[in-house]
Amino acid sequence: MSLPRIVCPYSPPLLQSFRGRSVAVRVDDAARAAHAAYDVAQSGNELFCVIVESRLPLQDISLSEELRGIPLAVMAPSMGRFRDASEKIKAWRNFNLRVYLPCDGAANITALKILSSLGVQSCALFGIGHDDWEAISDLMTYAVLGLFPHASMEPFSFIAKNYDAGDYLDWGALYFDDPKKFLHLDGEGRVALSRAEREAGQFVAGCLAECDAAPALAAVRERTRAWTANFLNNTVCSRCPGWKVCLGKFSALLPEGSGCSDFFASMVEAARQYKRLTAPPSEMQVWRP
Amino acid sequence: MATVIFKTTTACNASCIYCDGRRPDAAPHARMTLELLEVFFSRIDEFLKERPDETMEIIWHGGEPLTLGPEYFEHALRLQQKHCASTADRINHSMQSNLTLFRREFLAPLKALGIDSFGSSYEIIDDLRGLGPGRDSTAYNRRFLDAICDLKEEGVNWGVIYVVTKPALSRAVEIFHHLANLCPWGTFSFNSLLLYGNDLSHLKISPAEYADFLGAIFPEWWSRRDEFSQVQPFASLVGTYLGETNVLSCCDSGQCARSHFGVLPDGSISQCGRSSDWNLLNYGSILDRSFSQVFADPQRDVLLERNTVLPEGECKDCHLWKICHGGCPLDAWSGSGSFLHKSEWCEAKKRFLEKYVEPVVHCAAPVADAPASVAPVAETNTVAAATLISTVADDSELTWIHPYGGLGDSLMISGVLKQVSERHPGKKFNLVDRSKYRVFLEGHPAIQNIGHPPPGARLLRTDYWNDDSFQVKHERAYQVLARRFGLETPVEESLYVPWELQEDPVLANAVPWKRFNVLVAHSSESPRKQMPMKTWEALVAMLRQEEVLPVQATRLHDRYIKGAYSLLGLTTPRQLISMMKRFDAVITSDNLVMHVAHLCGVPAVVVWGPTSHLTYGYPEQIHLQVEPKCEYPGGCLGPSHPGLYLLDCPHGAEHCMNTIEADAIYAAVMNILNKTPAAALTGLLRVAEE
Amino acid sequence: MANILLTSICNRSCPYCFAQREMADASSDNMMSWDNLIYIADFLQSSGERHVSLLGGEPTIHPQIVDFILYLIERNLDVTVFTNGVVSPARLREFEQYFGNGKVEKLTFVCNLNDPVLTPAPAEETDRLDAFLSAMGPFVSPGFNIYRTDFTLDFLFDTINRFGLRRYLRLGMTHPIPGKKNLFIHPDEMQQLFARLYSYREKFDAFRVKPGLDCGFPICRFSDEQLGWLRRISDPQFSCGAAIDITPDMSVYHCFPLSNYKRKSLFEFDSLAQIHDHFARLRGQIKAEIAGIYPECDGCKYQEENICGGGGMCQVLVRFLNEEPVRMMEIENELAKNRLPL
Repeated sequence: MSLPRIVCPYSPPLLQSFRGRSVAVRVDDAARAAHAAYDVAQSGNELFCVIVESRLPLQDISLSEELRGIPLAVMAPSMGRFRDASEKIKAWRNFNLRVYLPCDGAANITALKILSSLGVQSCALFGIGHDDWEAISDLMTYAVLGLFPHASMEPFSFIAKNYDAGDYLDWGALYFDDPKKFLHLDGEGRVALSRAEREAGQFVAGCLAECDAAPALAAVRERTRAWTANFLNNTVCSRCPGWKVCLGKFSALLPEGSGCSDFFASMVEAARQYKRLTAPPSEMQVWRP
Repeated sequence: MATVIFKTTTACNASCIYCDGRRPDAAPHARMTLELLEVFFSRIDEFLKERPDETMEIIWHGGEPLTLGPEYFEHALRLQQKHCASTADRINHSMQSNLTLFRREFLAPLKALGIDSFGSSYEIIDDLRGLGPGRDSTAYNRRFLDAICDLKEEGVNWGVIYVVTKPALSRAVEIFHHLANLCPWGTFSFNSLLLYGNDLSHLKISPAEYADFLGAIFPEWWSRRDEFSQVQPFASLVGTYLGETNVLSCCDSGQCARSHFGVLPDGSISQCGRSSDWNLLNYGSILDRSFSQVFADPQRDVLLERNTVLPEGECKDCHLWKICHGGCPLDAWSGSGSFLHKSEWCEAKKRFLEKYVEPVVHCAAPVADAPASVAPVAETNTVAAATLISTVADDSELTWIHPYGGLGDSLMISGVLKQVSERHPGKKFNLVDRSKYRVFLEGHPAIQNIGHPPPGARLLRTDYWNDDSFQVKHERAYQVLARRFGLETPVEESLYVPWELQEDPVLANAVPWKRFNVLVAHSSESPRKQMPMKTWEALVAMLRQEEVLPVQATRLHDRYIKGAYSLLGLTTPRQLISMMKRFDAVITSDNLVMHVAHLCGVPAVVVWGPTSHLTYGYPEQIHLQVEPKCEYPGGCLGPSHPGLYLLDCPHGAEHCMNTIEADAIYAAVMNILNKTPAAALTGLLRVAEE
Repeated sequence: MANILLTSICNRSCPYCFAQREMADASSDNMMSWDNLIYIADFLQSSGERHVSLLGGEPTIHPQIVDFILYLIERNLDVTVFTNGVVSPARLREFEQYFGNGKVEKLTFVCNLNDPVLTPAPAEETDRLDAFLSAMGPFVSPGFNIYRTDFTLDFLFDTINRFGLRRYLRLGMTHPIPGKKNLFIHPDEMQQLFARLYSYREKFDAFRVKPGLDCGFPICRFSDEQLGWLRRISDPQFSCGAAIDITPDMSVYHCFPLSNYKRKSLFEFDSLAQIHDHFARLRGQIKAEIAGIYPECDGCKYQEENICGGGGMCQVLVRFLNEEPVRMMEIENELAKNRLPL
């Protein structure tokens, strides 16, 4: 099993503290992205992607030409006005790029559709409280069953393509939130299992070297098995028709009876329909002598 | 496939409330010794060598088989390798375990034995299944969930049996979804709690309750049955009921006598796990009996006898026999003291299938939408024909003719109106402006105006086909129309056009007229009135050989008949009628040209199939009438089948118009051209000359 | 091609307007949303369309028209905006900023111009129009709707020259709206109309302006000479076909005059071809009743060969509205909606 990737802030000393790892380096300014990518390569690690965590709307984010070809995850609060973002969007089609926008309003939900329809890969952030599940459901329907080819919109496209009726599907890795695949370091090298836990100061190890120790391993095990608590406690999530593609991700964040259940049930149905639509035609057997 | 329920131990770490092993009279816990284990494997080998085509499934059972520890299974593996070297490929192992004692150390020997999935049990309701004397359900489920996580990481599957108890009855759908989520590949089953005696009556359920429990879940299962193809008893019961599958559980197959036996820790052999608990159907010991001898034990005969006794008795005429076979013989014995009765749980299956499955899977197919057709407008202001002439003579408002039908109908209306105006000079009508009607009615002496009737106008409809005399008495269309306009019938069926004949000289001079010239008009708006093109082409070829010029002069988009002289789309109806006198004969189906031939006095041969010459054809014409052999012997086109007019005949080569032969038409035409009386034609066609 | 109505609001009141019904019936806040626009673009492109028209009301009123135009062009669609040219100064600045100086290709404005003498407008409207034409002239083709037989075209040639407009004139004839009263050209006026149009041929030729005929012109009322002139300089069409108008609330209908006739939701169709089939059946039903606006349309060979559409279907439907219900049930049921008192 390969080692988890490291998500860490852009700090050359920090990058020098470990070797041979796949790294998703975080910057808060797109102008620093190229340097960050370079320094990761120079540190003896492999670049997974550069995460640009910007406070600016997309219309104000500039990506230099040298970033073309570098995998980028651009997280922005909004698109801004389309008329001002359109030139950038046109250029970004040729970048190895995924844009993350929060579904915190109708404007951003529309922005995600616009990006996807214009060939820019995008990713919807939801489950952050007060979600408009109906609007997210419309967004999902567009992403999975839209009439005309468009760039993928996560997590919907991922779920639709990878849905298996006989298994669970965990798509947390799209958000770098999967303790089996990503470890989050802060500036001091302390290790958390997700961005949220890092921001909350919930560390499982003081440094990467401690990750093989029993406490860290137990924390990972407990985290990856957290979903079983739903069955143990017979929660609403345990019998939700959308369980297989949610695994109770939002059970702690949202009040019971929220729209997430309807949404994920719709997600499952859309995934099933997607599978039917994209199933290869059955091969005609031609007789052979 | 032979199946042995291999109870290597009766020890268990759980304390499930309804377990037979917890009965006060249950035997003390026992565990099969390694010596007996060795005998067991040698018996397996012996059995499989005696039956080269047989396979053996060994279901490790208990108690809880994992209480034996991983070393026991390592030993079992060694014994199998020692004693079954040449037959091991026909041995399949599986295990029924509560999984609460699972550790990864078990996996190596179990996988080596071929166990890649576990059957287990699970309960969401507290205090039914649990660990220890206190029946700690939470601890049980926690360990179970840990175990399935371990199994998943190791790529090992598992399934659960859910035992349906009374507290579960009101939570059927919830439990289904819970299990469907817990076990995403859908290997779980709902078994009814089987209790005997009055113990735990607060948990016991009846067959009807079990059926209703399944019935509550059924719609959920049915809607996603492709995903839940392993959920029992739905998959086997419904699949067998629908004829999609033929796999039944041991309780339903009626064949357990041929396939099953159980071995206990002390080596004794019984029919199955339950029979040993009740001390029934004991077949001796592995120490002194081979498995072949066990299968040949005469005690099994009574189990097989059920398959002849029950269908003649209690299960006579039961349409579910093939799904149920009278149920588990042990349940039958429990209820009646005899194996030769059906189980009370048959009622559960029956109730479930008849009440819940049947209405869903055998619902009536939706009635196909009737083909679109022109529906008449609601009748308002329609004038009664009987009062037409007398009242209109007094009424200063003119009646509006509300025309229906094709060009042929339009020509008939023109003829009828001419007779009206001759008998009642000065009598006028207005005409509702509608496509195709101006050509024969504009300028007609009986028509005052063509336009749009004002609200409240008096209307006279020409849809004669809705008249009783047409539908029921099969009166001729012209006569019915005539009566609609107030004429006393019968009347002569004369046609009329309100203009002078006016040939197009360019067209007329362009045609290379021959000695005999025949107008061929094969088309109709209804595909059902049309003969196949090859018939027309054969006919045209025959005519050309006789130096007859066949000419087509109908609509632009009508299909061209190879060999004919085409004036398709080049003539207006007026020009066609004006040109008609140049033809010596007309060959047509039931369309405008038939009427025009009558109008112009040109002899015609008319082919009929779905309509009748008696209704529309003119007496002086030669009618070749086919009598349809389909579901419409009287013809499929008519007011009683309004939706069929524009539809193709579904009978393909058997379409009545396809059975007309070109020779017959040719002979009739040549009779006309040679001016010989038409001979009676035999064969497929009936010639009607009146 | 399809027309996307961005809004039903208009800032002008033309006496002949045949979009009155649509604008009157639509809700006041009826603006095309982004989501619906994206859906429509998907729908049209998956149907193989490469061109869209943006209409209204007055589409430039829509607050996001600039974004919409840029978006549609980014989707590789050619965009034509039908406007009256009475554009607010703020909106005009946006046009200049985002479309000016050749920043976008694939964009055309068709500006519907009224005769300043026969259809006078307030000064502010005229000023705004002039400012628009001045800024956007090279993107603009003029359009003119004939609603009276004494129309003049001189002002058009002058406007084309003054503002450098494209030399293609969209000529429309105003049509009746079943159930509404509006100024329109009657069939018996058409021959006179075409003669008047022909009288301008020298100016058309001198200023190299090509006239394009909108829908509902019957070929039989043009003389051979008139037809010859038209054919020499343009490709005149004599059809009555579905314009396919899509409204902000995702309704789709045949054309403006028939906006209330057999109106459906776009979501009921899977492709533009299906919509065309639907409206072709509608036209077929009406023609089964009456072939065209003149008696001689019945059996007319030009109609049979799809050279002429027999005039505007709306003209026929208006006649049906005023008569005793005698047409087929489907037609009468639709017309009943329009027989309510106004």
